[in-house]
Amino acid sequence: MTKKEFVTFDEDRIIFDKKITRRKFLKVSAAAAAVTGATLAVPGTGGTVLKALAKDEGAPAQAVQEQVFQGVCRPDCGGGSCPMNVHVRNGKVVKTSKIDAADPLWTRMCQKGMSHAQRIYAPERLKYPMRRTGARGEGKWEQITWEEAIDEITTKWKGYQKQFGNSSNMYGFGAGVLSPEQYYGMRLFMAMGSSYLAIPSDMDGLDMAALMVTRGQYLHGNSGDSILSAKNIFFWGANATNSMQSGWSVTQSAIFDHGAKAIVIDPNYTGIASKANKWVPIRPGTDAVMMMAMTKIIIDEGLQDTDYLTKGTVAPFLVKESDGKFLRLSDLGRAQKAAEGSTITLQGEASSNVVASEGNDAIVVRGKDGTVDKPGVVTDPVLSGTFTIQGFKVTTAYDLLVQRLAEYPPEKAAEICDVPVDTITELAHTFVDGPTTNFVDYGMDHWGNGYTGYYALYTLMFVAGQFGKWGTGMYGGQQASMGSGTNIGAAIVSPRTIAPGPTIYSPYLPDVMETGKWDGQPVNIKSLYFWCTNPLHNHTDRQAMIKAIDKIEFFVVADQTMNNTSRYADIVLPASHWFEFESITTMITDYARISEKAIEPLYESKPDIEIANLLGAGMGLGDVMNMTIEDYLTAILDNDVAKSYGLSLEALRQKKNIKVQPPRFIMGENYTLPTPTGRAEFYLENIVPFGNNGQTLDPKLYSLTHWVPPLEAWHENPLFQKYPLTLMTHRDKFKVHSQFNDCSWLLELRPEPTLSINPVDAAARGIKHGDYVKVYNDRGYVVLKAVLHAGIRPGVVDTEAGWRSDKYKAGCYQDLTSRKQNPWMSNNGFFDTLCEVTKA
Amino acid sequence: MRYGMAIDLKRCIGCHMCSVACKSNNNLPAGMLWNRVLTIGGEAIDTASGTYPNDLHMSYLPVNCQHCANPPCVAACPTGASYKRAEDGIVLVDSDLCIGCRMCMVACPYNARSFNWKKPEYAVDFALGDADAPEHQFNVVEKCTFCVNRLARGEAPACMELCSGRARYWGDLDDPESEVNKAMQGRQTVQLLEEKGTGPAVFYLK
Repeated sequence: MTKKEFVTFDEDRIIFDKKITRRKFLKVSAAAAAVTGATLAVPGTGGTVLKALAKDEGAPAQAVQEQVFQGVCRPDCGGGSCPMNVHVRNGKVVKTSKIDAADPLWTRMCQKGMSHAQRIYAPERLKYPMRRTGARGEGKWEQITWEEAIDEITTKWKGYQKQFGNSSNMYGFGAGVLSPEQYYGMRLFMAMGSSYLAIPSDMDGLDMAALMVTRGQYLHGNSGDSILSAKNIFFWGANATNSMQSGWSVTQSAIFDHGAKAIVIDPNYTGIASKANKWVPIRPGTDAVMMMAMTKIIIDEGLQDTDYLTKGTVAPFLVKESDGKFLRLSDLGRAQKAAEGSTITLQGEASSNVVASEGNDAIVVRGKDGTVDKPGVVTDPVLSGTFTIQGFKVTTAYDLLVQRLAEYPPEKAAEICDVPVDTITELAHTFVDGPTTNFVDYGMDHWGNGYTGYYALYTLMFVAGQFGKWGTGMYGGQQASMGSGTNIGAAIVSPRTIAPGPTIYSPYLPDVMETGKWDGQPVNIKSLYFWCTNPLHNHTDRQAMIKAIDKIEFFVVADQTMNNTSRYADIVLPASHWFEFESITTMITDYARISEKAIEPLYESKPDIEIANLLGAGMGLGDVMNMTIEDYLTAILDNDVAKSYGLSLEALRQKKNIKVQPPRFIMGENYTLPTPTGRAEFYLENIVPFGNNGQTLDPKLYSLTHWVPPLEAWHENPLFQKYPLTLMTHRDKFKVHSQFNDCSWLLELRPEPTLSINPVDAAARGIKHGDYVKVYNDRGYVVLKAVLHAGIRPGVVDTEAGWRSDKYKAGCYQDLTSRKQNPWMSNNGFFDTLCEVTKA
Repeated sequence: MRYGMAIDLKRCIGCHMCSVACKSNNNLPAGMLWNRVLTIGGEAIDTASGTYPNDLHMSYLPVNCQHCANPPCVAACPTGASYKRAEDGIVLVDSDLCIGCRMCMVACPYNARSFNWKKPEYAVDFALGDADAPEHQFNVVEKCTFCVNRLARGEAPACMELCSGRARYWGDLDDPESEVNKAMQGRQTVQLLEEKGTGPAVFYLK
């Protein structure tokens, strides 16, 4: 083909233009740089620098001013809070680039973080407040002023308060922004006495950790470099190369530089499976069974860590047969009974830790000589035995565990898990030959029985002695890496004393709106306000959630973009992108960081904190909602922990990144933990539902590790006959939850949603590679492109989480997912979903 | 000297960080990639071939211009637009001389070259990436330049700046102490289509 064949007149003109204006960039750039002595941004300096830009050959180089700021990407990817250079030219963000960490292994940034310039200027950005003019979700809007929006919203809220009570207004927020600014809105709604919609996206691992080891919900492992000393790394349903990409540099170093053995337990052959020494394909939703069988093997072979069990766990505690509680001094008439119970807050903050206290009413153990007293007094407590002590029949917690494990012999586990006995035995031997690190990342959480995996895993770690030591413990999305230093306590979020409304767990919302009751009490929700969250994208059973919201009169959403949730609002408020205001992050990595304001808020957008203050003023709460972002950041850093790290807003402005984690932190070191007993609790005394909507729990079952089948996606479920495929989802490497949908660079790499299906399952349905298919069940359907993937377990189909619903040919994958709840922990069991697939 | 790179396939996780870094720093137009990451396995990105569960294959292969010692593109170019820099072995396209005949694209066995079939389009209406990112022009062939503009100021190519898997190594192939040569020491290396005698400057570590 010659040039003539495809050059049009217009294009000829372009060529003509090109001839006189273009520069010879390739030949000139080196010379231009040399001649002008151009300097460039030194990463991390954040200063203003000059760049030489060669325009035309022979023409003098023109200086373009480029400013570089530190921004922090914080979409809750699980491993991020990555600091990055934000490059600004002519008032616009043109590029983001890495900032070198002190240890190059920890320098982190990803392809999503590289794409912020596209995200900031995406056409989907919300530009100004808008009021819905068509039906909900129809996409018809009129622009309104901020004054109109605030007036309309607060007038309605005040009206509902007056007519239906304070709790008729409800609010919800998520981790769409993983930094302290996400919490400030609570201050408004706590001051209003509103109801709170808690959105437990995948909380089972965090909830179990809060019960069993406790250091606040988001941190229950060692420092991040602990994994470098691991001999084995078990990846439990965690595709570390995709879903924890920001931390992969460290994980891969453990494997490739330090020789750790990587063992991947996953139904599907994932990226990490392809890098592992061993991949163990397992029947989905059964990890706990295999862990319990491994624990049993370790005990049966006498490989358990008796020292750790005795000194570091509740193993020697004596459980009363009568009520399942530990025998205490007060039972024996030797102390006053202590006040019962303890609370775990939703905040993953160090300040909210439950304080371990032996107190006067200590739990007792029994010595080999029969002495019954506090562990400090009895130095050689027995681990086994059933005794009658002053009329109480008691058995050691360890024996109760051994009895429970007897229900899961390897042969039974092999059948349930579809893993050979030999493999389970080999895994047990490998696990106990530590140091063994467990890499988890919310995969097991995505099941209705998700907590069973964590209950069993912690128990396995305690018994195998793979906890409380360097190179052991929990890692991945749930490692201890929030040194924190922020205190977002009651003084911040509820300075005004007013009775709060109920906390309703979101998976129950459709039931609550249907029955008008939560935990037996009447509730009458009239309005809903969301910020930093996109539940009509990220929540299970989307159609049921939409129907529930349809029963709510007034729905307001503040967000950066027009997404599945904001599209459904009555009024949308435009929130600013993270690089458009100053904030800090303290989570996930060992550092507190400043995120500098790089550009002015685009269009009419405002930071969430400013929006909350405007709403507060409209509610007549101007005296409460009066903190500037600076006030707020200063206040939450005004505490002793922060001071011990030299952390303050001013210090962050100077230094930009401050380490807020002691070196070599070991969770549970020296046999101590901040649990109510001060020990690792594989036996739980108090079984209370998370999200109590009247469920009853059998304490005998729940007090120890156990397994129940998945709530829906299980071959013995009668529904399996109709819907024989399990719909799983995975973190798309080009998205974080519903974020980064708008970056065209990323869309070029993965242009549309796909359903991965094993060639065997595809052939049985006449589906060929590239066909459009309909995935459906009784809750909903989605139409998308099928791709053949031999690594997908037959009986499973798998799709990327995170596509906005308009990217599908029809429907949305989240319309299919199940919101069935186990009675103990409220959770979104995304994978616990049966479906069928047919050619579209 | 001769610039070159080594890519450790054991460590590459197919994240496309290198692709996007290239795209960003060079302000590449919509639809154009100078640095692609291929999935070796199934027919689609991130899929495996074989049979579940014991015979599965999935790995990644990043491919950019190989900056060959004997570049077939240069030989095929009728105008001299494609040329090899004597001082460092980088293969470049002089956009002034390129007539858009695309003979070089046919000649390149690595599919490493792109062509602007229309006026380049972008997601935003101002230039992203480095201030001195190359301009992109209609009817011109372009490709990976090893980021000559960055090299000129002493920086590594954009794709080398930060690899999530720490799989990429850069430097002077003629310098035994360079990062790229050190990375290859004691490792089995592969060059793409070695048998064609192109002499790629990109080495893959198995």
